Amino acid sequence: MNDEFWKKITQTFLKKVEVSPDEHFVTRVMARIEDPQPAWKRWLVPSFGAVFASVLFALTVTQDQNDLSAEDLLADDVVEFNLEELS
Amino acid sequence: MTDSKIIADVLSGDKEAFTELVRRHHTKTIGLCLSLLRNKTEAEDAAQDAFLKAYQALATFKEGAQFSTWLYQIAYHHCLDLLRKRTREKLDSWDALLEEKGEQIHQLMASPSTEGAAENTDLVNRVLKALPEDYRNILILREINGFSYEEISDLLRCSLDAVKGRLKRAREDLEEKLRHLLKPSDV
Repeated sequence: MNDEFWKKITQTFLKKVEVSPDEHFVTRVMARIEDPQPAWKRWLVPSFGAVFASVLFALTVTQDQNDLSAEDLLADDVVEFNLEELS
Repeated sequence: MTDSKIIADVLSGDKEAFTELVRRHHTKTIGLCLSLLRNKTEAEDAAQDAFLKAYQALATFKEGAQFSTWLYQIAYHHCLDLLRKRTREKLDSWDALLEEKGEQIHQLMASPSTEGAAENTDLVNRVLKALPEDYRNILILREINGFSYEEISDLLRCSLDAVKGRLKRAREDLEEKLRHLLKPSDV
């Protein structure tokens, strides 16, 4: 085996992996040990909360639009009623 | 404090003591996962899973064994499971890869310092994936991660002689595949 050629192969395709110490990684592992639920369960409650908030927001906006339309209609009626009275 | 003493503390109820084991062994565990999965995010998730599995199975850890080797075994086999689940991943045959990318592989070997570029990283990954699985894994363990023959023997659950033999064949196979890409002056 040609050592120079092998060295070139390792430098190109089999470079050593360098990983730096990461205290955040240690914290994340310990958090999972404290709360060993699968990821989807950890996100379940926040996801329901987000969906509920979105529905509530959508309903509020729709309600506001309905209110505006009703007021407009009412205002139109009042104007027409006043005009009838005047005439 | 030795790993064995920490394990004894964890098993007697001191959950927090496990932090020190994670701190001691996480870089090499992430490195192992990264070299196998070739994706940083997946590698970190896999390394986390390996620590969690080790913690949950700590009571089965055999006294007198090396904790690090046991942990690397868990991480190694977890990564292999994840790789087997990547069913949609396209695998190149060596001939197809050479036909498509032979010139680029030649250029990459001529100036390996450009390996950091995204397209070259992808090319390195494709070359490694095109190797037979046994050869690829043993080369990754030995050359990229720097595991000793004894550690590889424990990880792969085979004899030292089998490790040495397979490693020799893997090197010869990769050399043979790449040799005819190079001009005589390159070798």
